[in-house]
Amino acid sequence: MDLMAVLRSSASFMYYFEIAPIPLSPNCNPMNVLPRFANPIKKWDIWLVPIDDRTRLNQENQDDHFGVALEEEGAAADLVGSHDGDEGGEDVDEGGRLWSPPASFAPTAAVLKAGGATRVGEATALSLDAVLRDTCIISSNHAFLLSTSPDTALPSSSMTVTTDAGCGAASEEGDVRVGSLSPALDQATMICIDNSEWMRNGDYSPSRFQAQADAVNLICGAKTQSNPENTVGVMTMAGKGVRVLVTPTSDLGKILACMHGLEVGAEANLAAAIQVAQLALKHRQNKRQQQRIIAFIGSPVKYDKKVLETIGKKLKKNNVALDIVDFGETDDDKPEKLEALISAVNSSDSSHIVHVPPGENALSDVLISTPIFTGEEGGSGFAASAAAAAATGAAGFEFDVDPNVDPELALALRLSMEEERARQEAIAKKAAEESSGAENKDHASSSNADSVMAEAELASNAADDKKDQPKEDDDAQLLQQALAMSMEEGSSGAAVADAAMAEAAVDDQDLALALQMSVQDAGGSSQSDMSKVFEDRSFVTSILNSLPGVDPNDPSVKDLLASLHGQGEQEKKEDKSNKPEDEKK
Amino acid sequence: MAAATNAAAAAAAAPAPAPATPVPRGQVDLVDFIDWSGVECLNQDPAHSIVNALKQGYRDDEGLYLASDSDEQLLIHIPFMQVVKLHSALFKGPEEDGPKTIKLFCNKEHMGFSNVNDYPPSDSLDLSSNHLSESKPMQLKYVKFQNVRSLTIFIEDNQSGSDVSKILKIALYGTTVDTTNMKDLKKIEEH
Repeated sequence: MDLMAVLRSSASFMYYFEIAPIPLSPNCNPMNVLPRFANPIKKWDIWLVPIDDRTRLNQENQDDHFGVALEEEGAAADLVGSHDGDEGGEDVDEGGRLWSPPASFAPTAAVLKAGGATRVGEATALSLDAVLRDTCIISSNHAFLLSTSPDTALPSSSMTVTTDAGCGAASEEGDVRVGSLSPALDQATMICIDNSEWMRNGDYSPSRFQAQADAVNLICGAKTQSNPENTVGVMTMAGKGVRVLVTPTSDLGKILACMHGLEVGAEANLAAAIQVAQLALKHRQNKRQQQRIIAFIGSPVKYDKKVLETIGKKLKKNNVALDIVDFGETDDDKPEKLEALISAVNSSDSSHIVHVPPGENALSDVLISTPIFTGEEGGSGFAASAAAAAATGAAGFEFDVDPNVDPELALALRLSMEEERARQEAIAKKAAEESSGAENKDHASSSNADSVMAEAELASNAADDKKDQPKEDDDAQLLQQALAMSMEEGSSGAAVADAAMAEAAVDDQDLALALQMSVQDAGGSSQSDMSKVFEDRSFVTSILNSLPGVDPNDPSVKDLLASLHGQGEQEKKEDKSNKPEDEKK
Repeated sequence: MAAATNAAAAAAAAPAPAPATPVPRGQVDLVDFIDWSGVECLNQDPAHSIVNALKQGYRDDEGLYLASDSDEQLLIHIPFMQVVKLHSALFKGPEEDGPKTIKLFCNKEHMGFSNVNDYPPSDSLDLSSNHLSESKPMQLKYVKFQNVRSLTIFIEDNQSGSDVSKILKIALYGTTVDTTNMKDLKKIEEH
């Protein structure tokens, strides 16, 4: 978020915040680090600095370089009055004013304010405000500047630095770290509802139209609650023509009421709707409100890309932001057209588009975590909390525990799950390493032996396997064969085995699964490696669990596992019995 | 009204405006009577908003300017807190991207780019690059601006014909019609 931009565009009593790194040297004037302005010191006369840096400011004061007058005065509520008598701020002590923050303003930061209007350039007078409480809004390596024009007295009433609840949305490391210190900007929003025939489709539950209505209700609620001065209007795009149901109003009841008894029919006229919406927004009562159109588009877009772009440019020129919810019909070029429209409108990332494919999640649930719902500021207050709640709610809870209800339990469960996973992975890895080590030894001891002998041995092993389980049913036998084959194949015969497997896979799903497993493992692991891995029942079970469409409790799967286990042990014995033979030779 | 007292206080506390711009005799800078909550600028670049050109302090900073966004046109609506008479206007901008054709409209609410040609302008200015650099107030048709509640400024094009128009400063000079603020006015005139 470009806080500067946000603040500049809110018309009355502007307070610029700039965030700059805390200067490394205590003697360095932090204002010099602002590259944006040639002569920034004229601009900034209020500072918010992290509380940890008060010591540094104290040092500066002693160095008398920055001329900070740290003084803990009593609260000077009437800043205007105090300013009037303070021409030029020659007297450091007089010039320094103390600003007492409103109760709602409680970052862990100190506020510095320059006193004398004309002498600000020389940085003669600064005063340190009382330390503010609680909630940190500033990272420890950033300073916060709040400025007013040097010529403007600082009216106490306009100290709208009041941090609302939405502060603290930190951005990436090294970037500006700000919460929305400015009060959330007022918005006037027109919501365009698609009530064309295409809305009868039921691919969004319960129907496209109903899903859309739910989403609209939610957005209206969020918009009106995030700022009391926000207004929302609703209009329909189809039916007998584009119709404005409610002009922008802050009365949520009015908005919701108009949604009832809407008729579905005819085709949506996107171009007309957007232009009518823009007209409705243009005549808003409060000119400070930012204009925004939210269009739900579930029907095909029949307009040309060019036409849409022209409309988009017009919106941009009139400072209207556009959000599009693309759902329902998915023509070949509908997303492309809408993207073109958005990119024509978009100015400093204020317009968004969301594509919502049909699926299990309700339309409103998908929207709730998007910028359309949360707004540019990353969502403050209601919107953010609702979004968070819905996001977790919609996702379905891990371990059947609602993390919102019992976060500690959820965390504990997750941690233990992760630990267990790590443990199992470590075991498997260890087993693999051991077996490969053992194999190397094997290989070294039998390196002199004829390679033909080794192949013969393997073949006999496989034959033994088959003899050992003569009474298994057909499926299991097939499985065993397949597994044996997959284990046998070292470097040779992979292609043949694959073909055989493919044939087998057609017959039985479980078999196919087993084959898949064996193929996956055969790549890197050796025979004994496989058996060791399969010996670890918990590991195999966890693998089976993770495979789609597999029920680990299925009897045939259980049988398979049991047989695998048995086989692994036998192979071990065989390994041992083979070794003496090798040595004899 | 909080804004009104603020503005008055600001006027009282503020030192003389920048020395480079002489206020026409008998007139005052109307910046203190602007109703900021109603100020609107269409097609402004959000990063370079109208405040940079209009507001006391910011407008005198060379680094801050108002810029257009999607094309070169700008439409600025400035309502006043009381009725004023407008005597002259000052536009300062870069020689290249500064405004050229400027149309001024009186008391036209809800103007947009679409209906800007529907009304005859109260006055129109054709600025040369000299005007922009020397920052001298341009005198307006005084009779047309005797009862101004709001002023709409339409910047039609710029000097170089480029896509982005830039304005460093807009200053409006005139007198207030109502006498409620005479005390403050005197104070300013002393400077």
